[in-house]
Amino acid sequence: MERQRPRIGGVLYRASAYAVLAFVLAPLAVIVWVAFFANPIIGFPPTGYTLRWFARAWASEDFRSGFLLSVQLGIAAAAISLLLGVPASIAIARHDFPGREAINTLLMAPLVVPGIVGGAALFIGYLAFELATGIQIAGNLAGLLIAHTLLAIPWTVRLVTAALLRVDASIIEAAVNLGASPFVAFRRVTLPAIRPGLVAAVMLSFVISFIDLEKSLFLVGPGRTTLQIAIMNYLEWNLDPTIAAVAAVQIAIIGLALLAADRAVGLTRII
Amino acid sequence: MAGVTLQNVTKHYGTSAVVNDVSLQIAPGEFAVFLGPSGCGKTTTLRMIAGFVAPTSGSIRLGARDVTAAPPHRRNTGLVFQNYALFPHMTVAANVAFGLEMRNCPKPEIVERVKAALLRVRLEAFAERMPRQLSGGQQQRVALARALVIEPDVLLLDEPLSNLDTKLRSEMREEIRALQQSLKLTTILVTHDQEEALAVGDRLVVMNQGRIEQIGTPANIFEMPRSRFVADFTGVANLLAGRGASGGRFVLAGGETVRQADAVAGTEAVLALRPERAELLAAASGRHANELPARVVTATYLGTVSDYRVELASGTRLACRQTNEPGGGAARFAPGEAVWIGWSETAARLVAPE
Repeated sequence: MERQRPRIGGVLYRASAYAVLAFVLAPLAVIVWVAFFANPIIGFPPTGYTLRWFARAWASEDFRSGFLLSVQLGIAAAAISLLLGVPASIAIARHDFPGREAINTLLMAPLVVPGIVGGAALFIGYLAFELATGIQIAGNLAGLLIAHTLLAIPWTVRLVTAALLRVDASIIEAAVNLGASPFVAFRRVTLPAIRPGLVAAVMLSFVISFIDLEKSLFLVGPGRTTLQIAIMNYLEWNLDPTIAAVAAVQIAIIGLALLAADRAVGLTRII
Repeated sequence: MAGVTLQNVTKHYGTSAVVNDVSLQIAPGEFAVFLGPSGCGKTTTLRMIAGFVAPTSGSIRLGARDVTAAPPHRRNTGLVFQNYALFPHMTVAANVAFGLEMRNCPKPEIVERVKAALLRVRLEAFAERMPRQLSGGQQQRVALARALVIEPDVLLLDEPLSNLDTKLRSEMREEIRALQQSLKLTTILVTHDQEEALAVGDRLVVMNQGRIEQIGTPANIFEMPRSRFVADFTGVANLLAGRGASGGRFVLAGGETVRQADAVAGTEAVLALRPERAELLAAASGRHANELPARVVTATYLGTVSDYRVELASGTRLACRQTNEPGGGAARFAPGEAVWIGWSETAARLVAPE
């Protein structure tokens, strides 16, 4: 009997796919592993295992307040970007008007500007605004929130627009024909149809905001740092597994958010 | 029950008129069919009646009510879409109930009426299914039930049968006709299929390039097309230009003189002759007012009938459809064969040249 040669190709293909996956996941796995090491300075091999780095991370005022601020920012940025992004997406997906492409490009712009440049630009802008009006936004929560909303908006618009474009326009017309006002038709027909896209947008917005470092660098104020900046500050002087414990928690949170987003809508189909 | 009145309705997109000065009255309970090729303005006209397209000028009335400026959700029309447009996240029952909820119908009444509507389209067993679990024909019937349950002033059907296969299409056609008859509902159906139009309509409105070409009963449109376009669109394959002569004669462009009852001396016209109204003969018989010698160019056997193309001495070509004899086998005449083509002086009709 002849051997089935094509199977070798299949095995190789699968092996290389797993190799790439392992390559991507290995650093994450190592970080989580190191978080449990008893070694006082990160190093191999582990001298034992402990949970004390997690306790220590939580005990640290910097990490705790950074974590809470990041969570608040992420939630608020996701909510605001949804409030602004959904109407924008409707305009882009449903209406043809002069300047539509320009607005679409503008809303995507935060994606192409390097975070550090965007952060610096915002900082300078805030200062100019403060000089002109006397209202301070640099270094306080409002300034941070604006920056994080800008981070989230391109993703929200992208995801919600894609979801809207997949909704058959005739089902909305059908609802209107049956007596639904445009608003009721949106609530009863469009909204349920795009709900997965909205969930994905919220989750992704939260993640993008939560992991941001560069944009926030210029905008945090004294006693008000995000988790990423707290991590960076800590790393300047320390190299113990506390940092790995913080990272492990963060990986878990982001992993759950992405998983939820993927459950809601095949994320890979949109991005 | 309301009729529909269109008065000088025009729709421009930029500089092009998609619908051009259409005036039309549809009586209460009448089944009207807008028939025409794609881009003739039939769907745009339907959408103007539903309120999804605003006319550039003209007015639209449903019964005595002028709805020209009314938003679509206040018009009380029942629109059935080509792709059914069922709400994918709602059950069949919820789809049908939607219009009643919008009308703030009390809950028990909704339940009753949804049940009755589903019974009417024989889908009572499918109430709790989701639309994606239904076949195309079943989805179409849900769409119909959903449009009918709100008791619309007018039922609008936008190419409702074009996504169904041939057998289902003729079944649905009869079902729609029967429903319309039993409810005495003013109905407008849009189609490009002349057979569908003839089968369901009380009155056909043939449209071309945004204008009404002809309005009439199916038999009227079929037998007495007024223009070359209507004749062509309703399947008249032979359109022969020529000029009327005295004594009920008509001279074809190729030089042949034929007898034609409605010929007017000196008037340019087009002779419209349906292929099935001409007869192929092996030899001159004298049974027809017109019998011309010809040669068979092509012969196509189609089972019940055979289609022939023949050429007259002048080079004019004619299509001719003959019913095949039972057990007769292949086409009766072969390409190259010399034959006679005959038709009576009333078999053809003269229409205006373009």
